[in-house]
Formats: sequence, C-alpha cells, structure tokens
Amino acid sequence: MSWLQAAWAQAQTQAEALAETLAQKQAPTHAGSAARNAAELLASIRARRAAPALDSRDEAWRYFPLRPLLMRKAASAPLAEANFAPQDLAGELRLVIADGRVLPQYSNLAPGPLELSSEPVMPWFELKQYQAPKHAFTALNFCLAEQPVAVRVPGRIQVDPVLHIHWLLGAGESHARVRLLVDEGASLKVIEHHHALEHHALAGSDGSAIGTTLLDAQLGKNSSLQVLRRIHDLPASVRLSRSEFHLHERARLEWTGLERSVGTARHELQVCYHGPGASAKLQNAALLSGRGYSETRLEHRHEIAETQSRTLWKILADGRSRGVFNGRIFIAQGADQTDAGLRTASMLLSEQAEVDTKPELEIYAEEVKAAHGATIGQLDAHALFYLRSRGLSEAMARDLLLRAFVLEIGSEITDSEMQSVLSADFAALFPESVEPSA
Amino acid sequence: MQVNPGEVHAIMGPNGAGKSTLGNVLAGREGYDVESGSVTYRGQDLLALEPEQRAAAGVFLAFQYPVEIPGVNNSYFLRAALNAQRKARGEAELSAVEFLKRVREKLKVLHIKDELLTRAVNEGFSGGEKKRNEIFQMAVLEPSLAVLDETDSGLDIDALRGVAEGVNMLRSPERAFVLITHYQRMLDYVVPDFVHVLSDGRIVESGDASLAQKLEEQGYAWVRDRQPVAV
Repeated sequence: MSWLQAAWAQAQTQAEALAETLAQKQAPTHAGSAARNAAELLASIRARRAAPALDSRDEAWRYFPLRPLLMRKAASAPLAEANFAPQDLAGELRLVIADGRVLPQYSNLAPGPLELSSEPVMPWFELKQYQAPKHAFTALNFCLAEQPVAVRVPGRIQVDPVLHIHWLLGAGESHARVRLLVDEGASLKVIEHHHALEHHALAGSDGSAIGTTLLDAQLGKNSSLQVLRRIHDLPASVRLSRSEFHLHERARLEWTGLERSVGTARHELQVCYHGPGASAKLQNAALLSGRGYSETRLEHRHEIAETQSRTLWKILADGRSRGVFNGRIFIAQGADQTDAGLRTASMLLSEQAEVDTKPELEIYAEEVKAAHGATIGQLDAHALFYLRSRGLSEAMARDLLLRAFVLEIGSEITDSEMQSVLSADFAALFPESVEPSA
Repeated sequence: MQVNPGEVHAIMGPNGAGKSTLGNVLAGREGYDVESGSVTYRGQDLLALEPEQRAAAGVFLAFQYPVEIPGVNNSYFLRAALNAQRKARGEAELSAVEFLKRVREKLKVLHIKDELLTRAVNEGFSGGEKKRNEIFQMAVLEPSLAVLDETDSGLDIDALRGVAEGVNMLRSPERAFVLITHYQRMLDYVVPDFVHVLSDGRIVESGDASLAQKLEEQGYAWVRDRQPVAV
C-alpha cells in the first residue's frame, strides 16, 4: 500500500469520527454553513474509496514530481530519529510544532496576551473548496492533523514581540495546522520557521520526511498581520503546505517569504479580501539549488470592492532545481476599484535549472486596475565582468549581483527583529556579497 | 607596442578597427580568444590572469558602457573592490574610516559631489555621470595601467572637459594610460605622448600627438590601406 492510500484510509476513519462529532453538535447559527461545508467535505472523503487520483495531466499537478510521492511506501512506525536541538529555536514568544505535535515544553506564549487553544472542528472558512484533487493534501491535513491549534489576539491588542512559529519536519509523516485569529483592531507579527531537521534514518527506511502544514489566518476589521515565512529544507524532505489569509474591512497583511530549498515543496497561498479597504503586500525570494523543487500557487481573491494587493515574487534557480510560480488575481463581479499588481522575476543560474512562471488574471468587475508581469533572465555576464574588472572575485561578484536582485524582498518589513532575521538569512545566502546599501 | 610608466598612449581608429576589443582583451573579458600575439605586463603574461587578478596587478579598464547595479551602494562596492585587490596583493584591508578618508580626498581632487558615494552604482546616472564615476573609481583604485575605452563618447563638451581634467589629475610618472578614442577632441585636453592608429585589428601608423591632428583633418581613409607597422 502506498503512503497516500494509507493516509487516505486513515483520513476516512478520521472523517467518520469527525462527522459523528458534527452530527452530535448543535451548530452555532453563524457556523451553520461551515458545518454544512464540513459535512460535505467529510462526505466526499468518505465516499472516495481510494486516494484521489493525482495526475500530472491536471494543471494543478503539472509540474510537481508526483511519482516519488505516489510511490512512497506507507510507514507503520517512525522512520527516523530527528536531531532536535531546542536551544536553536529562536524567539521569546513561540509555538513549536514538531512532526505535527505541539511541544509545550519548548513553546512559550506566556509573555503576551495571546490565547492558545486547540482548534475547534468548525471554523474553516470554506471547507467545501478542499474537495478538489488539487487540494488533496489540505483535505488530508484537515482530517489527520493531530493537534491543530489556534492562536487568538483579542480585539485592539497590539502584540509587540514577534510570535515565532516553528514548524519542524523531523522524520516520517506529519500534519500540522495553526489558525491565527487577529481580532478587530489587533495586530500581530509572526515569523514562521519551516525547518527540516537533520536526522538519522532508522533501519528499513530512506529517512525522508513528508509533512503537510496549514496556516490559516483571519484578520478582523482594522487588524494587521505581518508574516515572515522562512523555509530551510533538506534534500529528502517533502513539504506540502497551504497558507490562507482572510482579510476583513481595512485589514492589512504584509507577507514576506524567504525560501532556501533543496527539498520538494509545494505551497498554496491564498489571500481573500472580504471587506473594503483590505490590503496585502506579498514579497518572496526563493533560492533553489541542488535538485530542489519549489512550487507556489498563489491566488488573490478580491471578493469585494476597494481592496488592494501587491505581489513581488523572485526565484533564483541553480543546479538542477526547478521553481514554479503560478500567480493568480481573481476579481469578482462587483469588486470595483480593486487595485492589484503582480510582478515576478526569475533568474536561472545554471543550464539545468528551470523556472515556470505564469501570472493569471480573472476579472469579472468593470472598474479595476490589475497589472501583471513576468521576466526570466540570467546573471548578466557584462555586469559580472564589470565587477571582476574592479577586483572582486567571481564568487563575490556573483553574490553581490544576486543579493542586489532580491534586495527589494523584505523592504516592507518594519519590525527590527524580523529585519535582523532576514538580514542574517541573506548574509548566509550570499556570504561573499558586500553589504548592499547603507 | 610598448607602454612605459608615465606614458599616455592614444589608440585611434575607425569603427570596427578593434579598439574596444583591445580594451576588453586587456581587461580579460570572456568571449575573446587571442589566437596570436601576447601581452606582457610587468614581466607577467597578462592574458593568463583572471580579470580580478589583472585588477589586483594594477590594470584598470574604464568601460565604454559602465554597468548599472541597482541596490548596490557605490562606496560599499568600491571599498569591497579595493579591499579585494589589497588582499590579493597581500596588503592590509582598509577600515571604513581609512577608506572614507581616501575617498573624500579623491572626490575633492576630482570636484565630485559626496552624494556619489551613497548612490547605487551607476543607477540612474546620466552618460556623463557614469563616465565620471569610472574616473572616480580609477582614482580610488590607483591602477598602474589605466585603459579608457571611449570614455569621451556620448559626452557633451563640459562633461568631456571634466573627464579629461580627471585623467590629467591622475597622470603620474608611475601610471600609464591607454586612451581608446574615436575623436581627436579628447586629445585636445589630454595630450598623449604617442598616438597609434588601429585598422582591422593592427596598428598601421604611430606617431606623436600631431598624428591625431592629422587624422582629424584627413580622416581615416589615408591609413586604412596601410600595412601593419612595428612599434
């Protein structure tokens, strides 16, 4: 039995239990539709005898290396022992999730006014949407996450320290889920650390790790959320993640991604605008090497008038890596005065590297501003020579140009702790580069 | 062709004569195969060195089209370049303070405003500013052989004069210049010791500064059919 089939069978069992819980519960009035959606999702999972047929002919899986995933054997026991060094974990205020389990001994939410709770079954915004095979892993995560948790920032509270969420991928298979509830007028800053841990493979396994992670955030009226999402994976790790942000009236999201990957990663990133004045800025730098594979499926859903989105997505692909970026702007009927801009720029650093980018616009409203653009290039040989002719070594010249290429990423970050984490990451990524600008 | 310390050699010639190729080959740009001939620089085979090794050895090429590097601060870049060269030569690297002192002296001598330091390398610079920045870089890096590839092209009279003044300031008994140029204009301000005419990749005529004058009057037609000369 393959891993996916086994996981699906397990998900069905879980779905039965969840459905039973749902049936017993009196659904609160506002959650009535969510309950129906949940019931539909569960029903669909139960009805499907086998795992969903993931097929590379499906646009959603066109590039993803499905074969190793589908061939992957089911494991009955942990595959490996992770080297877990808690002293490495950054942050005073933190939530540590290793292999799908919250580690209370390493987590600390005490200093702030944050409320941590185990997540109720109900509150998924639109569970129904996970029925499609393209969301197969979200559905799996929904059923299999052992310890989903929710962190709430009560209304009008400005949380000053940064909340560090550590998603640690050790070994074997794991499913983790976090909800962030930023209530009306509140603000929160988050650094997500996605790390694959070094581990010792146990006998009879290849020691590779696979994990699904879900972050879903509800931003109330006039609230703000800043996120820095850092990924540092290992060659054998497979990370299937989804982040979704629901922005209500005048909510603001500032999201920065920095991915350093040699593993396999797929990220569904969705921002939904539910209230006028909601706005989001997304910036990402993915630095891929080895046989790294990173795919992002981004969607901005402008459901309502007067919302704004800005996206800047950069990919540097070296070695035999492959970067995939599908950036979609959806503007619903009536969502007039939407102002959406999406730009993606990539650089291929080797003959074997590949980048596939596709910006998409789907617009049903009349009066909108929507712009998109995509470029793919190589390191400028002329610039490289210019720098070397001034005495910089080839490595220095290269690092300097690459650092300059991703310089804008993180420019929106105002928090000093987040800034210093990002600077340290860039310094590690481009060790030969001079400090860019003062 | 032999260039001794302290000398200024002008290389002139029509379009396609190989002037820029010469500059690029001297600085080590990729994409050129030197099929015959050799370049000996201070007893070393220059062509065997990487571009950065040539820079550390004291060779500087002022580009015809200086490259814009957005996001990289001019002074940080120059300090990194200078220190990389010093390191390669086994000299101590300059601290930020020492570097700034040196840079300010050069700015003063060249009458360049301080703001150049904080701007990104050549980003949004006018043609004249880019060329002046090349001269400034040359001043800071203090090469022993400076090759200026059409530094006069695309400049108005004032900018040309400014660049030429910079070159004159940097003339010294230890430093040699090779000025690659189309026009005699530049040579009104920077008077060369020798003028060579390049045609079809070879030097076909050599002389003193008066040769440039003659070219200006008669054009390149009269040298085009000449046989190569040994100089």
